[in-house]
Amino acid sequence: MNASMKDVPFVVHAERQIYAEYDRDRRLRISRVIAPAFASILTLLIVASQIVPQQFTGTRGNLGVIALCDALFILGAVAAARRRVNLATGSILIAALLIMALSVLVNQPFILSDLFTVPAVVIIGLSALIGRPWMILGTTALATAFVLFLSKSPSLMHDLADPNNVNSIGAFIVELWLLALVLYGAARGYRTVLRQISDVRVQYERARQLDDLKDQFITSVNHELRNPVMLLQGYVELLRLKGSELSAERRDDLIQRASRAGASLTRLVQSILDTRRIDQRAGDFDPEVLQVGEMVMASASLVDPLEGKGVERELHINVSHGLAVWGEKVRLQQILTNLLSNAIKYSAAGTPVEVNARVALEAIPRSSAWRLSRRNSGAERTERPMVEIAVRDHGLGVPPDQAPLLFQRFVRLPRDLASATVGNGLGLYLCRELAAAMGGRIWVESAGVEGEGSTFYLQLPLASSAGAEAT
Amino acid sequence: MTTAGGTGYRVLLIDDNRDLLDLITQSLTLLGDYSVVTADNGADGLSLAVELRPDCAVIDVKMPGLDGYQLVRALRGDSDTAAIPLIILTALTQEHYHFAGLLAGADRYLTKPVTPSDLVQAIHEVVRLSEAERTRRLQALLDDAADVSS
Repeated sequence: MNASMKDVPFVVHAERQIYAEYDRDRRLRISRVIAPAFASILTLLIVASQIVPQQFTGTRGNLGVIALCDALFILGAVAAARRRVNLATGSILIAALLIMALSVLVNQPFILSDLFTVPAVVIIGLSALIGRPWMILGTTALATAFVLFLSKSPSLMHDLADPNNVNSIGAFIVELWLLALVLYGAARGYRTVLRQISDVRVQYERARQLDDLKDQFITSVNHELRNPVMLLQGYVELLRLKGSELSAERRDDLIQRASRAGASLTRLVQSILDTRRIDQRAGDFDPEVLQVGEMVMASASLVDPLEGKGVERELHINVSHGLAVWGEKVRLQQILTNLLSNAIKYSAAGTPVEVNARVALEAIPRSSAWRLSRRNSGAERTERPMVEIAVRDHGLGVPPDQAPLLFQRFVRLPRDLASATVGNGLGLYLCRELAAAMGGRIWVESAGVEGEGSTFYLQLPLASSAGAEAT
Repeated sequence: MTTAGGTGYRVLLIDDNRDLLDLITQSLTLLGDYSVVTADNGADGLSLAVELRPDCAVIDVKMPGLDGYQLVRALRGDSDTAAIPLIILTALTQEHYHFAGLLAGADRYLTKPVTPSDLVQAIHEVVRLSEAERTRRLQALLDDAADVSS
């Protein structure tokens, strides 16, 4: 199983599903009461009809319909228990419709207002209670069809001959549909309100999570800041107290160590400030044509050798000559440096890091393409040429369940928090934001198996002037 | 394991940050004339403590494998190492970490950043602590904990 951040909207989609879950739970809860209750009543009725048949005046056909309804209610109960909400509500509604039909048919000759109205209203109300809005209209359509079917019945024809019942059939159908429309409107309104409440809850959850992440970040930064501060402060104090007694060589060594600690501190502070800057100038973008090979080489030279614990690492670069992207130099360099630095930091010394780049056609999702084609009056634009840069390491990998967290602000994997590996949880967030600002995206694929490592993919728009040459 | 010479106390440093090990080693040799032994993980630190019986051990908390608290408890639980003065030196600043460190058996809980001279002073203090004083401090800590929980 591969973890992938390609589907970043998954998170948004999942959030959008929250309100649907509320409604689903509500329908399931009602179904779990109605279905077993009616199944029990009908089962008792069937058993009683076998024990004391003289008390029941129905035909064997009627009993068959009741048994069928009982089976449907049992099916509904089982489906509700297994959280199959549509099957549960569908079974209940069909069973209720059959009972309504049976009650009308066995009581012929009947009067619409007494014998048909009540079951019809109950069944439509029931559909509003446990069904989705369209089920109200579906149930009403079935009830209408049943009424129209019955209107051919000789007894009803006789009934309609009564001047008091003239126009009853038409008026009744109109009343049914008015009721259905009111309930449909109410159900839609209810779902809208539910969605709004859910949106508020999603916003609240997001704010709460962000708050937790900030706390975690502050704790993490607090921890990470203390080591370089102590190094800087310590070497400065040693120089102050003992500098005059030390040889020039030793003094230089202490100064260099202090300087490295200062640089480490600066990098940490810089990355914290970068997140703020990116938030503020997300749309400020000055693009140019950038040669991928050159950018990878330049970025590799910027990686701090200390990230790899001072051990030299092999970097395999496989990028076609002339392959170029449309982006901003500083931003791309920042992304690549970060990815290379992480690849070295989170893999064992001696393992290589590989960088590959190729032209890839980015497919626009079907729904987006459909919307796009509607908006553009049929314009055919369902994919666009991109350059896909893959940075692969052979390290610890990323556990699939934790992959979606990686590109969020302030987040570090629990494994890394417990380790000695330095980090502040901002690098990949910055990469994601920078890639998005350049019209691209970034994601990770990993089996989460140690030694198999991870591959981080960066997709950026292919520079059109270089596109023909590269492809 | 690395060692740095001197004629004063023998101090065992256990921290997974090599830069900090270097700094503290240099600080202790320059300011305190200590002989310093270092380990970059808890397990090595434990075996060195058992083997060398240092005059003092300075221990980080967040380390891969055996963490600082576990190491302190292990040292206090072994009669051969129970009397070694122990200092926890960590970036964990919250009160509950502090309390947990002292409760585990550390004599001092120092939070980074600590200046070299403060660290030397702390080592001097804990090395001079008598067994009776250490027991008295731990008992006072336990009494405080009991008061808080009641």
